[in-house]
Amino acid sequence: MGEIKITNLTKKFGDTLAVNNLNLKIINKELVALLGPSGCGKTTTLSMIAGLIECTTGDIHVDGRSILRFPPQKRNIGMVFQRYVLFPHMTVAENVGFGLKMRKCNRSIIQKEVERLLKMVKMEGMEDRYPHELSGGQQQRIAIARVLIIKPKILLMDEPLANLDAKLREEMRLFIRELQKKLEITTIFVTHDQIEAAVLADHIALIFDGVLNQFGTPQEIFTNPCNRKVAKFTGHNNFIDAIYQGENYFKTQVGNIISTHHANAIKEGEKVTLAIRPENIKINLTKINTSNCFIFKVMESIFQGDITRYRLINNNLYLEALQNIKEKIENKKEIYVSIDPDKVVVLNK
Amino acid sequence: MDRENVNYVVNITKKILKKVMLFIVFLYILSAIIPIVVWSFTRSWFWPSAFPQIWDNHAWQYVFSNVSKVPQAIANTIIIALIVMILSILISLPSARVMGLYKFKGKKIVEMLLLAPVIIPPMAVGLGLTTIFIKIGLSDTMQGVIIAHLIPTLPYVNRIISSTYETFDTRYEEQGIMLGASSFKVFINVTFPILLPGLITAALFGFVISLNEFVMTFLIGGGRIITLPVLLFGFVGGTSSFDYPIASAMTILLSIPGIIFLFATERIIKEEYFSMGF
Repeated sequence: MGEIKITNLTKKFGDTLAVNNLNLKIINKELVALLGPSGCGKTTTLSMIAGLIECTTGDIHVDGRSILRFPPQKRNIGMVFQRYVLFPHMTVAENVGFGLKMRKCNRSIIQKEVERLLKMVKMEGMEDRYPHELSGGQQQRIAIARVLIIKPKILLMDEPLANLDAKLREEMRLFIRELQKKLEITTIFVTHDQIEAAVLADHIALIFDGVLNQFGTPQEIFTNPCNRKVAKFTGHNNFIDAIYQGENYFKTQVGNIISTHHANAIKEGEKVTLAIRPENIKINLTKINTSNCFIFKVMESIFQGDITRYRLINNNLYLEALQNIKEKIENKKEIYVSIDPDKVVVLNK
Repeated sequence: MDRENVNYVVNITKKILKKVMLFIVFLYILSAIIPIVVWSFTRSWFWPSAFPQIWDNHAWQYVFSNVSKVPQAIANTIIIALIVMILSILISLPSARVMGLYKFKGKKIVEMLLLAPVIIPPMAVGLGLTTIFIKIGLSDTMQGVIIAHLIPTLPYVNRIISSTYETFDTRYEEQGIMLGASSFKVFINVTFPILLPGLITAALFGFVISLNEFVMTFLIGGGRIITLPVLLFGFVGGTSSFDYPIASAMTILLSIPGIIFLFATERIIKEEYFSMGF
């Protein structure tokens, strides 16, 4: 109950391709994040599943049946919008009960259901408040309750945490996660925040310019990015051009780098890109005897509170390192950089 | 004086100036109303006398007598104004939605065309309309007058509703649809209540403009459809006698419906805005 299959989904706005040939299979009861920068087509995709936008070509199946011929009202899909759009002229109880009122349920049933839903989102006793009297987090809880009351098969959420401050965001993240696991409702949410996606989702679909780049668990996406865009988006800020020499050796302009982190077959002499996270670049003040040790010059160090960000240079190669070093390192000082061979991601060109 | 004191004086001066300006505007409006009230209780009041020479209530007696046709005119005026108000809102809703929510080529031109009736002299429009209405049998009829009144009311009503739509978030409607409501139910339960403050303001304008409309009623109604402004015109030198006291009494009557409307709706407008949290 709630398996979604998206095949060759495409949406054109005039000449621009908002969503380009998207294929995605979402398993029942899973929480999936559509992740990508703003304007990448993730919200458009969500709206097409909801039925608010018609797709140009392609198909969407829920439990093996195409839902495209149904209007949004008949799709049994719940959607929580960004900014929650609670109806300003209705009380909390009227907002939550709206879906049932539209289904012509009788009053006592609506009242009972509203009570049950408010209890579920921990908002008991708020029935008579108006939306403007609620905090952002409370509004979100009401918005979720309002959607869940119609018992949707699938829950869609558009940037559910974007309008909350940092502390509330953490709380709501856990709340959504717990609720979703408890209700076992297939959920798709849209976000541009990689951490949010990693914490919440069972699977992440990374979308750039309307094209699905990678679909996988958060671990897969963050440790095995499939291309440069995904690597960049997941925080691999250092890219080094290299040529494969065989036996895990990659020739770069600063010398040979060893990488033991590559699954795909690469031929000798093939041009590749090495991607490394800033936190995986270790700065040593003295030369150490390990593989992948190179001399670099410090260009700039930016103190960020719990951590310091260093910009390093060797010839024309810039690297960025995140490090927690007690003593201050002067600019232009030469230091030794060491990189764990297992943390160097090899990307095909 | 030190700096703090200077600031204090500047602030106080600003406050006083604001009050003075407000008072001047208030006085300006009042200065037009007070003489009318005084006039309605006099028989003669001529320059250079500061006070009326003869006080009496012939004007009010006349106005409420059967000869004056005032009661019937009031009924006509209000019925026409109410119908015009409702029609102009119904007509404006779709077009105002388009103007307020969508961008399209030539929008500026359409905007200008919608405002055209405000810019073109009503007499020109009225005369043109009369010849057409005579041909199609709408002249001298209530329907004809109502249709003619839409010309001056629509630009204002349309404008106000479209600016209300500009601040309207269509995601409210999408949310309504996602919760299972039909488009019609979404309009009734979601869109309409959220737009209500703007709609009431628009209704007020439509009502008051129709209430005060003379040119269209006079030309299209051809003297058969009597409204208060038409009667009033007679007493300020239009058709029959010249009687300021009676004209003043009628003017006061004419302004009452608008004032009642304003007071009756002011609370709704305020409450609505309040519940929206703005």
